Amino acid sequence: MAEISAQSIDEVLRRQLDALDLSVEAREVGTVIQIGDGIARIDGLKGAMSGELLEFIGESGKTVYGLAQNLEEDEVGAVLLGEVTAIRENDQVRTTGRIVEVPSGRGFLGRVVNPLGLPIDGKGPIKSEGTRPVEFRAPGVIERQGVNEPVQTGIMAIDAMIPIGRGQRELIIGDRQTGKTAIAIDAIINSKGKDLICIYVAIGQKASTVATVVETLERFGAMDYTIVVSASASDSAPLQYIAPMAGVAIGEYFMYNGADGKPANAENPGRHVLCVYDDLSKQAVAYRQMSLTLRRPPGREAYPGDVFYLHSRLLERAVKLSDANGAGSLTALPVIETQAGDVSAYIPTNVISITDGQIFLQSDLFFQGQRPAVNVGISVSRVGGDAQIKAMKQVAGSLRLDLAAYRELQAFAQFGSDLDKATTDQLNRGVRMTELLKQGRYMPMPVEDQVMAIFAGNRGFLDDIPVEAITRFKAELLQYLRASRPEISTAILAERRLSDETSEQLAEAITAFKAQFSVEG
Amino acid sequence: MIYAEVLLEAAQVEGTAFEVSGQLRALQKAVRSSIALRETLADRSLPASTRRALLEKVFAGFDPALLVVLGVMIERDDFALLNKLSETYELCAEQALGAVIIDVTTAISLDDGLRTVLRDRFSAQFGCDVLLREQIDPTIIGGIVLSSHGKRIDASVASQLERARVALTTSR
Repeated sequence: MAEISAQSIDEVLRRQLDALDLSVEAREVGTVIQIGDGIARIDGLKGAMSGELLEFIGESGKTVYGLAQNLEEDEVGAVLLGEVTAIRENDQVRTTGRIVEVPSGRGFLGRVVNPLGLPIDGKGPIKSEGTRPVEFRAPGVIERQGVNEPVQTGIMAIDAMIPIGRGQRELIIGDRQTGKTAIAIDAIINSKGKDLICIYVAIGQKASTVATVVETLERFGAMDYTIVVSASASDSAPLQYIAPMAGVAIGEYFMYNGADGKPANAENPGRHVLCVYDDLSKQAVAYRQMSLTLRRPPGREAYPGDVFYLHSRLLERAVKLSDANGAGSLTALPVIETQAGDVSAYIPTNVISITDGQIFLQSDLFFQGQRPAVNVGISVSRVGGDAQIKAMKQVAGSLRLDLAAYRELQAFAQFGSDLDKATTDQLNRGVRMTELLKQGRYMPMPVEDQVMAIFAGNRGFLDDIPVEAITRFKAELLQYLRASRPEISTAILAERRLSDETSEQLAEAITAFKAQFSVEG
Repeated sequence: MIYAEVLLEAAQVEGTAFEVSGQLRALQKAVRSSIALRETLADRSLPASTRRALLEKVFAGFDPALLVVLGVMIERDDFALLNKLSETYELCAEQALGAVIIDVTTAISLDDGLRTVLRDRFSAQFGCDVLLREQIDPTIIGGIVLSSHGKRIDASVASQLERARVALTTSR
């Protein structure tokens, strides 16, 4: 260890103080007229810009940052982002000429930060590689390209029927306790080794819930490529309001820069990012609180008129960049909580109309044991089909329609018992396919396993297996295929399609497994 | 703004236009600092005469013309316009006096020599007279802070030390 001498301390101090800018400059100052509920009304600051970062200097010299929101004739309305109690009437406020920025970089991976990018996990300071503005114009048409790569969530019902592509915005919507967060967490866990950086933004949640999510991600080794941005229920409304924007800004750093930290381009590819906003209903509530205390006029459900714009400008930042821009992507998985399944409320309809599809989760399915409780009838993905691998398209192409037909028949069959053979067969197939799609929590499946399992169902291999044995059959079949016929999954992964030869091998392997499978267990 | 014009006219007659601007600032600051005072003065459920009496009692040493104008504002339920009055009065007073008002904050009181230096330098820059509104604030430790029309130049020792603190705590 190097010896510490008085001279070396002196040198270090001198070197650091050399960087100190002692020039005196004129800055615009205002005075806090009134403060309360995290909102400050400021006299002066005639030159303040909308969304500008303001510096509040408390009596004790403590600096608290704020965000200029309302620019009125005589005063400026601002929201405080830090310790609200440190600021009082008559305290000074300065403009900074900057908008709010968050630090980002590889040092953030595996860390839990607040919406200002400050660590809250007790693991010490984070070395940032750069900063990104919290508010940023979404890329235009020319800078983008079509979504063409999949985000594998590892959930069979989603990857087969509601596929999500890199750069897509797919809404996860449902009542409380229907497994919305579980789907997002599964998607993060399944991204291991898939060149995807994940950002999980927790908005207005209990700190204990966030701690559980972090613990789960750590348990599955997913924190190595994940950043958690948390504005918990005890944080101020402005912090909850900027949390999703801070999350996307942290993610954009990776997308707009290559692995070397330099701007991405055709030679220096940008990285792929998955952003989960859990959930935007709470962000909208925080924004409503902020707007009402700023005395902005309330609109439907007392939300301000620009709550649609708030969500649309956030979700427009999800993008698949063109090759010239590095071909990076940012996929958005916003979460919306509904009340008693009411999707026609203001915020759910807004976000449904903004996103490229939605995954509906239903309480009744959840309690029937259908987990994940995805209602595949009304869930859609508008662009993800282009991102599905061909093998999945081959086996799951008609799955949605088959299951829809099954549900229709199932409702009809409840009225009578005399059904023809074709109808009985269809009902049998439907109930088995539904059973096949059941999947445990935090048990994502690789895409090749999904293809093989759906293949077995589609080809009728499950038709004579009792419904209660389907889950076990699926698990044991996949185990058998991995152990005895690894060349099949290798071929699916390599060719990304099911060739006639692979189909034959797979059918043959399933027949062989079925011969040894015992229904009794 | 009629209140500002009337106040300036009355203050000019007494020759206290500049002093009144300082008192108006101090009054504005006191009202902002005390929620109880602010709410009581603007409370319409209380008789105007009571609120006026309270104002005169709290700000007893202030210019009588200022207290009369504020009393009228209370009677007409216009007390919320205090900030506007202060801002407009200062602009009108500067025009009437042909001078720019600059707030000067120091840790100890200015001596005559420094006062003259500051006045001469700013007069040369602005091309008009300069009126220094002096304030002593020991927390700035040393140096000087100048502000006028919402612009502030902070050359205090306290702010330089704060910059040094930030440089030392954030650099690696």
